[in-house]
Amino acid sequence: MPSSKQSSLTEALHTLGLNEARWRAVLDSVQDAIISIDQRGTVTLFNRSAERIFGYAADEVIGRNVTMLMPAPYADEHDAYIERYERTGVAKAIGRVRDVHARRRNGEIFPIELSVSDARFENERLYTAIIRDVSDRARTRAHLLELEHRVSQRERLADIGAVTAKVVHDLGNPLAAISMQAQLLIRRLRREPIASDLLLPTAERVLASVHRLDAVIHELTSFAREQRLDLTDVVLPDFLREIRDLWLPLTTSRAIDIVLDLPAECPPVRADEQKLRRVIENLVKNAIEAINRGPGCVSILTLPIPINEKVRISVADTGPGISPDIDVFGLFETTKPEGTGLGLAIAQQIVVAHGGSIRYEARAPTGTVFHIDLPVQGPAV
Amino acid sequence: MVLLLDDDEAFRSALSELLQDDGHTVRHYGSIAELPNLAKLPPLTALITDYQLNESENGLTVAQRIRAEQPRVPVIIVTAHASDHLEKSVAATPYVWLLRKPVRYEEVRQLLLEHA
Repeated sequence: MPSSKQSSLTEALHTLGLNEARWRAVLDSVQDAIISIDQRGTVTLFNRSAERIFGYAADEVIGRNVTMLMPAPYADEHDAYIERYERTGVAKAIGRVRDVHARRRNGEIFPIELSVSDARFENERLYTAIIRDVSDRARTRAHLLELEHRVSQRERLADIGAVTAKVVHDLGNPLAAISMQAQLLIRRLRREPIASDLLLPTAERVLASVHRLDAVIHELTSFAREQRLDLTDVVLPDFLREIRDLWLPLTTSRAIDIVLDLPAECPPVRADEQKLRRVIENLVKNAIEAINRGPGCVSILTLPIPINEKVRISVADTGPGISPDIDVFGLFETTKPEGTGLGLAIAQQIVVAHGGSIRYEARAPTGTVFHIDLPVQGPAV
Repeated sequence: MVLLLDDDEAFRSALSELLQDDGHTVRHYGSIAELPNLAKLPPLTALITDYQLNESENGLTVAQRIRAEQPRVPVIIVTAHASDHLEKSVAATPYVWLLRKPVRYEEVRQLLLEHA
């Protein structure tokens, strides 16, 4: 028979146990990670959401330093940070919500919202962090940004289509007049044997030039119209090697190196091979022209990006770089005396039609690199 | 008689002379406003007209007005900017052909030989 003293102790312990279970249940039902540390940074509490978000079981973390959950540079600075706070009372994290990054067990670094409170318990200080995993939100924001970028590219291409249609029309009429006058001239000259020897070849050359111009206009017309894609599985290493081989004689004669850097593991890309060839050749040609004469190097690289099922093709040069006040993708933008200003505008249109994107950046110490990101599966229908 | 309608004088005059060399009688005009009363036109062997004429009329609508007087006139539309839409409209209309500018005279000559 337990004494009444014993029985009240048992009851007290029971109540205590119930209380403990109750707040434990509350902590574990919260969606956010709740992590407490002492003033040395040692983890003393790690709730169930923390286990889910970070991928560690509580007993793998409790008793260890909280920096295991942080990427650099936070991890390296954390101890000094606590020490400074305790000495000066100046806080960066406490009492506000901050956007920072954390590290999961698998090494993944992900964005979080962090709020930290501190509590004094006898002589101990206890810091408690409430952590919300916002990687979904960050992904959505990145996705939205990409969509916005794509829409603005499309809008601009629609503008380009309208301008091109106007140019084609304005060029077409005078060209038709020149052509018809030349045809009349040729016919008349054929009737005059004396004049014809002298003048007929000239008149015929005029007409031939008109036909060449007409071919350019025809190309512009097809540019103005919607891109139709003839999709096949393009094996990038073979495809890029062919392009490199094509330019090799020119680069050799100009003392420019042209190198390929192709990883063995690269999935085929669903694309219109001819149009894609036009894009890459344009970039390679631009790269060579940027360098003009060697020494210099043009590099063609591929990089699979499995996380969003894309492949990146990059073309880099060691030329002087692109002036920041040039819109390289703008129609008729060119810095070359012989340039049409169509190459990159067309390249961009083709890449966008494939559901991809194209951009460029400066290289250190000098040069430019263009990146094309293409979805492996081709454009979404 | 061939009726030729195009606002580009250099194109119109050269085509007109080539047609005349091939034995056609040609009357050519630079705009719809210059056209005579359609009801009083002599019988036409063909109408050759630019597609882009002015805000309210194009080559096809002029062709329709002339066909109201002379139903079987062959029509050649010439244009510097052939859209899918125009190609479909022309394909759907009998005895109308579309030639893209710059026009090869030989094509005009063949069409007139076969249909005019």
